[in-house]
Amino acid sequence: MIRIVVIEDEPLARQHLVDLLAELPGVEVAGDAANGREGLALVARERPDAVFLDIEMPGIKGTELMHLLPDPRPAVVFVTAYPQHAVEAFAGGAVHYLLKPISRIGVAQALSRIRPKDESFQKEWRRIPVRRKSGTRLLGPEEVDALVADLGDCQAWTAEGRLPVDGTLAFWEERLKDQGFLRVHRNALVRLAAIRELSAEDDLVLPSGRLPVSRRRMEEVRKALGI
Amino acid sequence: MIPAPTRFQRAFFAASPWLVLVFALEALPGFGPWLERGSLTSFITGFLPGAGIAGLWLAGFAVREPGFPGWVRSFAMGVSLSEGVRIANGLLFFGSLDRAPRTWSGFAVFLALSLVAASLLHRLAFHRAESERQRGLAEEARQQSLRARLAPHFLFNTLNTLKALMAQDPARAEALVDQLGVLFRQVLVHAEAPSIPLREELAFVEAYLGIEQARLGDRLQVRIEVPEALEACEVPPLSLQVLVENAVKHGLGALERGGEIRLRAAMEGPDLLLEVSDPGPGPGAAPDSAPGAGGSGTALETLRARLAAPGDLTLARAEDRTVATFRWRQL
Repeated sequence: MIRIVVIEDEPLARQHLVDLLAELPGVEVAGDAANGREGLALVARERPDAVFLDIEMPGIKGTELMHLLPDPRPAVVFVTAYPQHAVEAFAGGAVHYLLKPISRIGVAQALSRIRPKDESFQKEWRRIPVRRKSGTRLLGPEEVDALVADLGDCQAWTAEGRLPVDGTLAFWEERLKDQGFLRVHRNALVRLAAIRELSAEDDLVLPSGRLPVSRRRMEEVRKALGI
Repeated sequence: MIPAPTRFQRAFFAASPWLVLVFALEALPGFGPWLERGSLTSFITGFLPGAGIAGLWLAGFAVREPGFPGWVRSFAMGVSLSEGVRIANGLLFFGSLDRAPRTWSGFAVFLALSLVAASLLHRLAFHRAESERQRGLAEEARQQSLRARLAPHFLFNTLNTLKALMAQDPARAEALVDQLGVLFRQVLVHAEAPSIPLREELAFVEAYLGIEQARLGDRLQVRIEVPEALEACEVPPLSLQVLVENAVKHGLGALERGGEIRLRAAMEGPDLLLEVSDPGPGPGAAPDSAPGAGGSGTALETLRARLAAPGDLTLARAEDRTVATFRWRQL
Protein backbone atom coordinates (compact mmCIF):
# COMPACT_ATOMS: atom_id res chain seq x y z
CA MET A 1 0.00 0.00 0.00
CA ILE A 2 1.31 3.44 -0.93
CA ARG A 3 0.14 6.33 1.26
CA ILE A 4 -0.07 9.62 -0.58
CA VAL A 5 -0.64 13.28 0.28
CA VAL A 6 -1.85 15.73 -2.38
CA ILE A 7 -0.89 19.43 -2.15
CA GLU A 8 -2.59 21.59 -4.78
CA ASP A 9 -4.15 25.04 -4.47
CA GLU A 10 -6.98 24.69 -7.01
CA PRO A 11 -9.87 22.83 -5.36
CA LEU A 12 -11.21 21.08 -8.48
CA ALA A 13 -7.77 20.04 -9.64
CA ARG A 14 -7.02 18.78 -6.13
CA GLN A 15 -10.21 16.70 -5.97
CA HIS A 16 -9.56 15.35 -9.45
CA LEU A 17 -6.07 14.19 -8.55
CA VAL A 18 -7.33 12.65 -5.29
CA ASP A 19 -10.04 10.80 -7.25
CA LEU A 20 -7.56 9.53 -9.84
CA LEU A 21 -5.26 8.25 -7.10
CA ALA A 22 -8.02 6.78 -4.94
CA GLU A 23 -9.45 4.62 -7.70
CA LEU A 24 -6.12 2.85 -8.10
CA PRO A 25 -5.41 -0.38 -6.29
CA GLY A 26 -2.71 -0.30 -3.64
CA VAL A 27 -3.05 3.44 -3.11
CA GLU A 28 -4.37 5.25 -0.09
CA VAL A 29 -4.80 9.03 -0.13
CA ALA A 30 -3.84 10.05 3.39
CA GLY A 31 -5.01 13.62 2.94
CA ASP A 32 -4.93 16.76 0.79
CA ALA A 33 -3.98 20.36 1.40
CA ALA A 34 -4.66 23.65 -0.40
CA ASN A 35 -1.31 25.33 0.22
CA GLY A 36 2.26 24.73 1.27
CA ARG A 37 1.79 25.65 4.91
CA GLU A 38 -1.11 23.24 5.45
CA GLY A 39 0.69 20.69 3.31
CA LEU A 40 3.78 20.66 5.50
CA ALA A 41 1.67 20.13 8.64
CA LEU A 42 -0.21 17.32 6.91
CA VAL A 43 2.99 15.59 5.81
CA ALA A 44 4.45 15.89 9.33
CA ARG A 45 1.32 14.32 10.77
CA GLU A 46 0.60 11.59 8.20
CA ARG A 47 4.16 10.60 7.21
CA PRO A 48 3.12 9.54 3.69
CA ASP A 49 5.25 7.51 1.26
CA ALA A 50 4.77 10.08 -1.47
CA VAL A 51 3.63 13.66 -2.01
CA PHE A 52 1.96 14.88 -5.19
CA LEU A 53 2.93 18.53 -5.21
CA ASP A 54 1.69 21.43 -7.35
CA ILE A 55 4.46 23.89 -8.24
CA GLU A 56 2.57 27.14 -8.85
CA MET A 57 0.93 27.91 -5.52
CA PRO A 58 0.39 31.11 -3.53
CA GLY A 59 2.81 31.43 -0.62
CA ILE A 60 5.35 28.61 -0.70
CA LYS A 61 6.03 27.29 -4.20
CA GLY A 62 6.14 23.52 -4.71
CA THR A 63 9.83 23.60 -5.64
CA GLU A 64 10.62 25.41 -2.37
CA LEU A 65 8.34 23.16 -0.35
CA MET A 66 10.20 20.05 -1.52
CA HIS A 67 13.27 21.12 0.47
CA LEU A 68 11.21 21.75 3.60
CA LEU A 69 9.73 18.23 3.77
CA PRO A 70 10.63 16.40 7.00
CA ASP A 71 12.93 13.35 7.04
CA PRO A 72 12.50 10.61 6.04
CA ARG A 73 11.57 12.55 2.98
CA PRO A 74 8.59 11.15 1.06
CA ALA A 75 8.94 10.62 -2.69
CA VAL A 76 7.95 13.81 -4.51
CA VAL A 77 5.92 13.90 -7.71
CA PHE A 78 5.48 17.40 -9.11
CA VAL A 79 2.29 18.49 -10.78
CA THR A 80 2.74 21.41 -13.15
CA ALA A 81 1.52 23.14 -16.28
CA TYR A 82 5.10 23.94 -17.31
CA PRO A 83 7.41 21.36 -18.86
CA GLN A 84 10.26 23.83 -18.17
CA HIS A 85 10.01 22.97 -14.49
CA ALA A 86 11.11 19.39 -15.08
CA VAL A 87 14.83 20.12 -14.87
CA GLU A 88 14.47 21.96 -11.58
CA ALA A 89 12.21 19.18 -10.28
CA PHE A 90 14.65 16.37 -10.99
CA ALA A 91 17.61 18.42 -9.75
CA GLY A 92 15.79 18.72 -6.45
CA GLY A 93 15.31 14.96 -6.21
CA ALA A 94 11.74 14.50 -7.44
CA VAL A 95 10.96 10.99 -8.72
CA HIS A 96 8.60 12.16 -11.44
CA TYR A 97 6.52 15.04 -12.62
CA LEU A 98 3.02 15.15 -14.05
CA LEU A 99 2.02 17.63 -16.72
CA LYS A 100 -1.43 19.17 -16.58
CA PRO A 101 -3.94 18.25 -17.79
CA ILE A 102 -3.34 15.16 -15.70
CA SER A 103 -4.10 11.76 -17.21
CA ARG A 104 -4.74 8.44 -15.47
CA ILE A 105 -1.80 7.01 -17.28
CA GLY A 106 0.47 9.79 -16.06
CA VAL A 107 -0.56 9.04 -12.49
CA ALA A 108 0.09 5.33 -13.12
CA GLN A 109 3.57 6.05 -14.46
CA ALA A 110 4.36 8.22 -11.46
CA LEU A 111 3.34 5.43 -9.08
CA SER A 112 5.46 2.85 -10.87
CA ARG A 113 8.41 5.23 -10.41
CA ILE A 114 7.75 5.51 -6.70
CA ARG A 115 7.84 1.74 -6.14
CA PRO A 116 9.78 0.20 -9.01
CA LYS A 117 10.79 -2.86 -6.95
CA ASP A 118 7.53 -3.55 -5.15
CA GLU A 119 6.45 -6.81 -6.81
CA SER A 120 2.91 -6.87 -5.45
CA PHE A 121 2.41 -3.29 -6.45
CA GLN A 122 3.79 -3.85 -9.94
CA LYS A 123 1.43 -6.79 -10.30
CA GLU A 124 -1.52 -4.62 -9.31
CA TRP A 125 -0.26 -2.22 -11.88
CA ARG A 126 -0.71 -4.62 -14.73
CA ARG A 127 -4.44 -4.31 -14.27
CA ILE A 128 -6.01 -2.32 -17.05
CA PRO A 129 -8.33 0.57 -16.15
CA VAL A 130 -11.20 0.89 -18.63
CA ARG A 131 -13.56 3.85 -18.65
CA ARG A 132 -17.24 3.13 -18.38
CA LYS A 133 -20.22 5.37 -17.79
CA SER A 134 -20.55 4.00 -14.27
CA GLY A 135 -16.87 4.75 -13.55
CA THR A 136 -13.50 3.19 -14.09
CA ARG A 137 -13.23 -0.60 -13.94
CA LEU A 138 -10.02 -2.49 -13.47
CA LEU A 139 -9.58 -5.53 -15.66
CA GLY A 140 -7.07 -8.28 -15.07
CA PRO A 141 -4.96 -9.03 -18.14
CA GLU A 142 -6.82 -12.33 -18.54
CA GLU A 143 -10.09 -10.45 -19.05
CA VAL A 144 -8.75 -8.64 -22.09
CA ASP A 145 -8.40 -10.32 -25.50
CA ALA A 146 -6.58 -7.48 -27.16
CA LEU A 147 -5.71 -3.79 -26.98
CA VAL A 148 -6.32 -1.99 -30.25
CA ALA A 149 -5.33 1.57 -31.11
CA ASP A 150 -7.62 3.55 -33.36
CA LEU A 151 -6.73 7.17 -34.20
CA GLY A 152 -4.87 7.59 -30.93
CA ASP A 153 -7.69 6.07 -28.91
CA CYS A 154 -6.81 2.79 -27.22
CA GLN A 155 -9.56 0.19 -26.79
CA ALA A 156 -9.67 -3.02 -24.79
CA TRP A 157 -11.47 -5.86 -26.56
CA THR A 158 -13.34 -7.77 -23.86
CA ALA A 159 -16.28 -10.14 -23.49
CA GLU A 160 -18.32 -7.04 -22.59
CA GLY A 161 -17.39 -5.24 -25.78
CA ARG A 162 -14.79 -2.66 -26.71
CA LEU A 163 -13.97 -0.30 -23.88
CA PRO A 164 -11.75 2.82 -23.96
CA VAL A 165 -8.42 2.63 -22.16
CA ASP A 166 -6.00 5.47 -21.34
CA GLY A 167 -2.46 5.44 -22.63
CA THR A 168 -0.72 4.49 -25.82
CA LEU A 169 -0.24 1.01 -27.19
CA ALA A 170 3.51 1.32 -26.66
CA PHE A 171 2.89 2.02 -22.98
CA TRP A 172 0.72 -1.09 -22.64
CA GLU A 173 3.10 -3.24 -24.65
CA GLU A 174 5.85 -2.36 -22.18
CA ARG A 175 3.63 -3.17 -19.22
CA LEU A 176 2.06 -6.37 -20.54
CA LYS A 177 4.80 -8.01 -22.60
CA ASP A 178 5.60 -10.51 -19.83
CA GLN A 179 1.89 -11.21 -19.33
CA GLY A 180 1.52 -13.20 -22.54
CA PHE A 181 0.68 -10.23 -24.76
CA LEU A 182 2.24 -9.80 -28.19
CA ARG A 183 2.22 -7.00 -30.74
CA VAL A 184 0.68 -8.49 -33.91
CA HIS A 185 0.17 -5.30 -35.85
CA ARG A 186 1.24 -1.67 -35.67
CA ASN A 187 -2.02 -0.94 -33.84
CA ALA A 188 -2.84 -4.17 -32.02
CA LEU A 189 -1.59 -5.96 -28.93
CA VAL A 190 -3.06 -9.47 -28.48
CA ARG A 191 -3.17 -11.85 -25.51
CA LEU A 192 -1.86 -15.07 -27.02
CA ALA A 193 -4.06 -17.27 -24.82
CA ALA A 194 -7.17 -15.58 -26.25
CA ILE A 195 -6.39 -16.60 -29.82
CA ARG A 196 -8.82 -19.26 -31.09
CA GLU A 197 -7.72 -19.58 -34.66
CA LEU A 198 -5.33 -18.28 -37.29
CA SER A 199 -7.52 -17.98 -40.38
CA ALA A 200 -6.53 -18.69 -43.98
CA GLU A 201 -6.44 -14.90 -44.58
CA ASP A 202 -3.86 -14.58 -41.77
CA ASP A 203 -6.43 -13.05 -39.41
CA LEU A 204 -6.40 -13.86 -35.74
CA VAL A 205 -9.81 -14.98 -34.52
CA LEU A 206 -10.54 -13.89 -30.96
CA PRO A 207 -13.76 -14.34 -28.95
CA SER A 208 -14.33 -10.60 -29.30
CA GLY A 209 -13.47 -10.22 -32.98
CA ARG A 210 -10.92 -10.66 -35.76
CA LEU A 211 -7.58 -8.89 -36.08
CA PRO A 212 -5.19 -8.94 -39.02
CA VAL A 213 -1.52 -9.83 -38.48
CA SER A 214 1.02 -7.68 -40.25
CA ARG A 215 3.25 -9.55 -42.67
CA ARG A 216 6.35 -8.34 -40.89
CA ARG A 217 5.22 -9.83 -37.59
CA MET A 218 3.73 -13.06 -38.98
CA GLU A 219 6.76 -15.20 -38.25
CA GLU A 220 6.96 -13.99 -34.66
CA VAL A 221 3.26 -14.69 -34.12
CA ARG A 222 3.54 -18.22 -35.56
CA LYS A 223 6.54 -18.92 -33.37
CA ALA A 224 4.75 -17.68 -30.26
CA LEU A 225 1.76 -19.87 -31.08
CA GLY A 226 3.96 -22.88 -31.84
CA ILE A 227 2.70 -23.36 -35.42
CA MET B 1 37.13 56.59 -46.39
CA ILE B 2 34.24 58.91 -47.05
CA PRO B 3 32.17 59.67 -43.97
CA ALA B 4 28.46 58.96 -44.24
CA PRO B 5 26.57 62.16 -45.15
CA THR B 6 24.69 63.87 -42.38
CA ARG B 7 20.94 64.23 -42.56
CA PHE B 8 21.34 67.86 -43.67
CA GLN B 9 23.74 66.88 -46.45
CA ARG B 10 21.44 64.16 -47.71
CA ALA B 11 18.53 66.61 -47.70
CA PHE B 12 20.64 69.09 -49.66
CA PHE B 13 21.68 66.47 -52.23
CA ALA B 14 18.10 65.35 -52.68
CA ALA B 15 16.92 68.93 -53.06
CA SER B 16 19.61 70.12 -55.49
CA PRO B 17 17.89 69.10 -58.80
CA TRP B 18 14.76 70.90 -57.68
CA LEU B 19 16.76 73.97 -56.74
CA VAL B 20 18.39 74.00 -60.17
CA LEU B 21 15.00 73.64 -61.89
CA VAL B 22 13.44 76.53 -59.98
CA PHE B 23 16.52 78.66 -60.52
CA ALA B 24 16.40 77.95 -64.27
CA LEU B 25 12.68 78.68 -64.54
CA GLU B 26 12.97 81.95 -62.69
CA ALA B 27 16.02 82.91 -64.70
CA LEU B 28 14.43 82.31 -68.13
CA PRO B 29 13.58 85.56 -69.92
CA GLY B 30 9.86 86.17 -69.88
CA PHE B 31 9.30 83.81 -67.01
CA GLY B 32 10.89 85.40 -64.07
CA PRO B 33 13.42 88.09 -64.85
CA TRP B 34 14.34 88.77 -61.28
CA LEU B 35 17.92 89.31 -62.41
CA GLU B 36 16.83 92.40 -64.34
CA ARG B 37 15.17 93.89 -61.31
CA GLY B 38 18.09 92.56 -59.46
CA SER B 39 17.14 93.84 -56.06
CA LEU B 40 17.84 91.96 -52.86
CA THR B 41 14.14 92.30 -51.95
CA SER B 42 12.96 90.48 -55.05
CA PHE B 43 15.56 87.81 -54.47
CA ILE B 44 14.49 87.11 -50.92
CA THR B 45 10.74 87.42 -51.38
CA GLY B 46 10.52 85.71 -54.73
CA PHE B 47 13.24 83.17 -55.01
CA LEU B 48 13.73 81.91 -51.50
CA PRO B 49 10.19 80.75 -50.78
CA GLY B 50 9.89 79.09 -54.16
CA ALA B 51 13.20 77.36 -54.40
CA GLY B 52 14.35 76.89 -50.87
CA ILE B 53 11.20 75.76 -49.20
CA ALA B 54 9.85 73.75 -52.09
CA GLY B 55 13.24 72.12 -52.28
CA LEU B 56 13.03 71.31 -48.62
CA TRP B 57 9.63 69.75 -49.17
CA LEU B 58 11.07 67.51 -51.85
CA ALA B 59 13.95 66.78 -49.54
CA GLY B 60 11.55 65.79 -46.82
CA PHE B 61 10.07 63.22 -49.14
CA ALA B 62 13.40 62.11 -50.51
CA VAL B 63 14.97 61.60 -47.13
CA ARG B 64 11.97 59.79 -45.66
CA GLU B 65 13.67 59.35 -42.40
CA PRO B 66 11.68 58.29 -39.40
CA GLY B 67 13.50 60.91 -37.36
CA PHE B 68 12.82 63.74 -39.82
CA PRO B 69 10.73 66.27 -37.83
CA GLY B 70 7.13 66.07 -39.00
CA TRP B 71 6.50 69.81 -38.59
CA VAL B 72 9.35 70.68 -40.99
CA ARG B 73 7.81 68.52 -43.65
CA SER B 74 4.36 69.93 -43.01
CA PHE B 75 5.70 73.48 -43.18
CA ALA B 76 7.61 72.73 -46.36
CA MET B 77 4.51 71.20 -47.91
CA GLY B 78 2.43 74.21 -46.88
CA VAL B 79 4.93 76.66 -48.34
CA SER B 80 5.15 74.66 -51.54
CA LEU B 81 1.39 74.62 -51.82
CA SER B 82 1.09 78.41 -51.62
CA GLU B 83 4.12 78.81 -53.89
CA GLY B 84 2.39 76.51 -56.37
CA VAL B 85 -0.72 78.65 -56.20
CA ARG B 86 1.39 81.78 -56.75
CA ILE B 87 3.12 80.35 -59.82
CA ALA B 88 -0.15 78.99 -61.25
CA ASN B 89 -1.78 82.39 -60.67
CA GLY B 90 1.03 84.15 -62.51
CA LEU B 91 0.98 81.74 -65.45
CA LEU B 92 -2.82 81.54 -65.83
CA PHE B 93 -3.80 85.14 -65.43
CA PHE B 94 -0.69 87.02 -66.47
CA GLY B 95 1.06 84.56 -68.71
CA SER B 96 4.23 85.09 -66.81
CA LEU B 97 5.80 84.58 -63.44
CA ASP B 98 6.74 88.20 -63.67
CA ARG B 99 3.41 89.37 -62.27
CA ALA B 100 3.63 87.30 -59.16
CA PRO B 101 3.92 89.42 -56.05
CA ARG B 102 7.46 90.30 -55.20
CA THR B 103 6.97 92.81 -52.50
CA TRP B 104 7.32 92.45 -48.72
CA SER B 105 3.54 92.64 -48.30
CA GLY B 106 3.08 89.94 -50.91
CA PHE B 107 5.67 87.91 -49.09
CA ALA B 108 3.76 88.35 -45.81
CA VAL B 109 0.50 87.13 -47.39
CA PHE B 110 2.38 84.26 -48.90
CA LEU B 111 3.94 83.34 -45.56
CA ALA B 112 0.57 83.50 -43.75
CA LEU B 113 -1.05 81.31 -46.40
CA SER B 114 1.83 78.87 -46.03
CA LEU B 115 1.43 78.67 -42.27
CA VAL B 116 -2.30 78.00 -42.49
CA ALA B 117 -1.76 75.31 -45.09
CA ALA B 118 1.11 73.90 -43.06
CA SER B 119 -0.89 73.64 -39.85
CA LEU B 120 -3.80 71.96 -41.68
CA LEU B 121 -1.45 69.47 -43.30
CA HIS B 122 0.30 68.86 -40.02
CA ARG B 123 -2.96 68.14 -38.25
CA LEU B 124 -3.94 65.71 -40.98
CA ALA B 125 -0.60 63.92 -40.78
CA PHE B 126 -0.81 63.82 -36.99
CA HIS B 127 -4.26 62.26 -37.06
CA ARG B 128 -3.20 59.69 -39.59
CA ALA B 129 -0.12 58.77 -37.55
CA GLU B 130 -2.17 58.67 -34.35
CA SER B 131 -4.83 56.35 -35.75
CA GLU B 132 -2.08 54.14 -37.15
CA ARG B 133 -0.41 54.05 -33.74
CA GLN B 134 -3.72 53.20 -32.06
CA ARG B 135 -4.29 50.35 -34.51
CA GLY B 136 -0.83 49.01 -33.77
CA LEU B 137 -1.39 49.21 -30.03
CA ALA B 138 -4.80 47.54 -30.25
CA GLU B 139 -3.16 44.74 -32.21
CA GLU B 140 -0.40 44.52 -29.61
CA ALA B 141 -3.00 44.28 -26.84
CA ARG B 142 -4.78 41.51 -28.74
CA GLN B 143 -1.53 39.60 -29.17
CA GLN B 144 -0.67 39.97 -25.50
CA SER B 145 -4.10 38.72 -24.51
CA LEU B 146 -3.75 35.78 -26.86
CA ARG B 147 -0.33 34.95 -25.44
CA ALA B 148 -1.81 35.08 -21.94
CA ARG B 149 -4.56 32.66 -23.00
CA LEU B 150 -1.99 30.32 -24.48
CA ALA B 151 0.43 30.57 -21.56
CA PRO B 152 0.84 27.10 -20.00
CA HIS B 153 -0.28 28.33 -16.60
CA PHE B 154 -3.66 29.42 -17.95
CA LEU B 155 -4.26 26.91 -20.74
CA PHE B 156 -3.17 23.68 -19.09
CA ASN B 157 -4.65 24.53 -15.71
CA THR B 158 -7.93 25.34 -17.43
CA LEU B 159 -7.86 22.07 -19.36
CA ASN B 160 -7.11 20.27 -16.11
CA THR B 161 -10.09 21.99 -14.48
CA LEU B 162 -12.23 21.03 -17.45
CA LYS B 163 -11.19 17.40 -17.03
CA ALA B 164 -12.01 17.48 -13.32
CA LEU B 165 -15.43 19.03 -14.05
CA MET B 166 -16.25 16.43 -16.69
CA ALA B 167 -16.08 13.80 -13.96
CA GLN B 168 -17.53 15.82 -11.09
CA ASP B 169 -19.99 18.28 -12.63
CA PRO B 170 -20.67 17.89 -16.38
CA ALA B 171 -23.06 20.87 -16.49
CA ARG B 172 -20.33 23.18 -15.21
CA ALA B 173 -17.88 21.60 -17.64
CA GLU B 174 -20.21 22.65 -20.43
CA ALA B 175 -20.38 26.20 -19.09
CA LEU B 176 -16.59 26.31 -18.92
CA VAL B 177 -16.32 25.34 -22.57
CA ASP B 178 -18.72 28.17 -23.47
CA GLN B 179 -16.64 30.64 -21.49
CA LEU B 180 -13.46 29.47 -23.19
CA GLY B 181 -15.22 30.00 -26.52
CA VAL B 182 -16.08 33.62 -25.63
CA LEU B 183 -12.52 34.24 -24.46
CA PHE B 184 -10.79 32.88 -27.54
CA ARG B 185 -13.24 34.45 -29.97
CA GLN B 186 -12.51 37.89 -28.56
CA VAL B 187 -8.74 37.55 -28.93
CA LEU B 188 -8.75 35.67 -32.24
CA VAL B 189 -11.24 37.82 -34.11
CA HIS B 190 -9.37 40.88 -35.26
CA ALA B 191 -11.12 43.88 -33.74
CA GLU B 192 -10.91 46.84 -36.12
CA ALA B 193 -12.91 49.21 -33.95
CA PRO B 194 -10.85 51.51 -31.69
CA SER B 195 -13.51 51.09 -29.00
CA ILE B 196 -16.38 48.75 -28.13
CA PRO B 197 -19.39 49.10 -25.80
CA LEU B 198 -18.56 48.47 -22.15
CA ARG B 199 -21.28 45.79 -22.24
CA GLU B 200 -19.16 43.69 -24.63
CA GLU B 201 -15.96 44.19 -22.68
CA LEU B 202 -17.80 43.17 -19.51
CA ALA B 203 -19.11 39.97 -21.11
CA PHE B 204 -15.54 39.08 -22.01
CA VAL B 205 -14.24 39.90 -18.53
CA GLU B 206 -17.03 37.84 -16.94
CA ALA B 207 -16.15 34.83 -19.08
CA TYR B 208 -12.54 35.17 -18.00
CA LEU B 209 -13.46 35.52 -14.33
CA GLY B 210 -15.81 32.54 -14.63
CA ILE B 211 -12.92 30.36 -15.75
CA GLU B 212 -10.59 31.65 -13.05
CA GLN B 213 -13.31 31.08 -10.46
CA ALA B 214 -13.78 27.49 -11.60
CA ARG B 215 -10.05 27.03 -11.05
CA LEU B 216 -9.53 29.00 -7.84
CA GLY B 217 -12.88 28.24 -6.20
CA ASP B 218 -13.61 30.28 -3.06
CA ARG B 219 -10.27 32.05 -3.33
CA LEU B 220 -11.73 34.30 -6.01
CA GLN B 221 -14.71 36.48 -5.12
CA VAL B 222 -15.98 39.02 -7.61
CA ARG B 223 -18.12 42.12 -7.16
CA ILE B 224 -19.11 44.07 -10.26
CA GLU B 225 -20.64 47.51 -9.68
CA VAL B 226 -21.39 48.93 -13.08
CA PRO B 227 -24.55 51.05 -13.43
CA GLU B 228 -26.62 49.75 -16.32
CA ALA B 229 -26.76 53.22 -17.83
CA LEU B 230 -22.99 53.12 -18.36
CA GLU B 231 -22.96 49.82 -20.21
CA ALA B 232 -23.42 51.64 -23.51
CA CYS B 233 -20.24 53.68 -22.93
CA GLU B 234 -17.30 53.00 -25.19
CA VAL B 235 -14.00 51.50 -24.01
CA PRO B 236 -10.93 50.26 -25.91
CA PRO B 237 -11.23 46.49 -26.47
CA LEU B 238 -9.27 44.39 -23.94
CA SER B 239 -8.68 47.39 -21.66
CA LEU B 240 -10.73 46.38 -18.62
CA GLN B 241 -9.52 42.83 -19.22
CA VAL B 242 -5.92 43.90 -18.65
CA LEU B 243 -6.71 45.37 -15.24
CA VAL B 244 -8.85 42.42 -14.16
CA GLU B 245 -6.25 39.90 -15.26
CA ASN B 246 -3.56 41.82 -13.41
CA ALA B 247 -5.70 41.83 -10.27
CA VAL B 248 -6.19 38.05 -10.46
CA LYS B 249 -2.60 37.22 -11.35
CA HIS B 250 -0.69 39.60 -9.12
CA GLY B 251 -3.36 40.57 -6.59
CA LEU B 252 -4.84 37.18 -5.68
CA GLY B 253 -1.97 35.06 -6.95
CA ALA B 254 0.09 35.84 -3.88
CA LEU B 255 -2.68 35.31 -1.32
CA GLU B 256 -3.33 31.87 0.12
CA ARG B 257 -6.80 32.86 1.28
CA GLY B 258 -7.66 34.75 -1.87
CA GLY B 259 -10.06 37.67 -1.72
CA GLU B 260 -12.47 39.88 -3.58
CA ILE B 261 -11.92 41.65 -6.86
CA ARG B 262 -14.07 44.74 -7.27
CA LEU B 263 -14.95 46.37 -10.52
CA ARG B 264 -16.52 49.83 -10.68
CA ALA B 265 -17.52 52.26 -13.38
CA ALA B 266 -18.44 55.96 -13.07
CA MET B 267 -18.61 59.09 -15.20
CA GLU B 268 -16.38 62.06 -14.43
CA GLY B 269 -17.28 64.91 -16.74
CA PRO B 270 -16.89 63.62 -20.28
CA ASP B 271 -14.69 60.69 -19.14
CA LEU B 272 -15.65 57.17 -18.19
CA LEU B 273 -13.68 56.00 -15.14
CA LEU B 274 -13.11 52.28 -14.73
CA GLU B 275 -11.69 50.98 -11.49
CA VAL B 276 -10.48 47.49 -10.60
CA SER B 277 -9.26 46.76 -7.09
CA ASP B 278 -7.79 43.68 -5.40
CA PRO B 279 -6.63 42.85 -1.87
CA GLY B 280 -3.11 41.96 -3.05
CA PRO B 281 0.22 43.38 -1.92
CA GLY B 282 0.29 45.94 -4.73
CA PRO B 283 2.62 46.78 -7.62
CA GLY B 284 6.25 45.95 -7.18
CA ALA B 285 5.60 43.45 -4.40
CA ALA B 286 5.45 40.38 -6.62
CA PRO B 287 7.73 40.25 -9.65
CA ASP B 288 6.21 38.46 -12.62
CA SER B 289 8.34 35.34 -12.59
CA ALA B 290 6.04 32.75 -14.17
CA PRO B 291 7.65 31.60 -17.42
CA GLY B 292 5.61 32.39 -20.48
CA ALA B 293 3.54 34.95 -18.65
CA GLY B 294 5.34 37.93 -20.10
CA GLY B 295 5.96 38.58 -23.77
CA SER B 296 7.25 41.82 -25.17
CA GLY B 297 6.36 44.46 -22.60
CA THR B 298 3.53 44.18 -20.14
CA ALA B 299 -0.11 44.45 -21.05
CA LEU B 300 -0.36 47.31 -18.59
CA GLU B 301 2.24 49.35 -20.50
CA THR B 302 0.38 48.75 -23.74
CA LEU B 303 -2.87 49.92 -22.15
CA ARG B 304 -1.14 53.07 -20.86
CA ALA B 305 0.12 53.85 -24.36
CA ARG B 306 -3.38 53.42 -25.78
CA LEU B 307 -4.87 56.05 -23.48
CA ALA B 308 -4.87 59.76 -24.34
CA ALA B 309 -2.30 60.65 -21.66
CA PRO B 310 0.03 58.47 -19.55
CA GLY B 311 -1.68 59.84 -16.42
CA ASP B 312 -5.00 58.36 -17.55
CA LEU B 313 -3.94 55.05 -16.00
CA THR B 314 -3.14 55.06 -12.30
CA LEU B 315 -2.17 52.41 -9.77
CA ALA B 316 -2.68 53.30 -6.12
CA ARG B 317 -3.09 51.79 -2.66
CA ALA B 318 -6.28 52.47 -0.72
CA GLU B 319 -7.56 50.70 2.42
CA ASP B 320 -5.15 47.79 1.99
CA ARG B 321 -6.25 47.27 -1.57
CA THR B 322 -4.49 47.86 -4.87
CA VAL B 323 -6.63 50.10 -7.06
CA ALA B 324 -6.07 50.42 -10.80
CA THR B 325 -8.04 53.11 -12.61
CA PHE B 326 -8.20 54.34 -16.17
CA ARG B 327 -10.21 57.02 -17.92
CA TRP B 328 -11.51 57.08 -21.46
CA ARG B 329 -13.06 60.12 -23.13
CA GLN B 330 -16.66 59.56 -24.31
CA LEU B 331 -17.48 61.19 -27.63
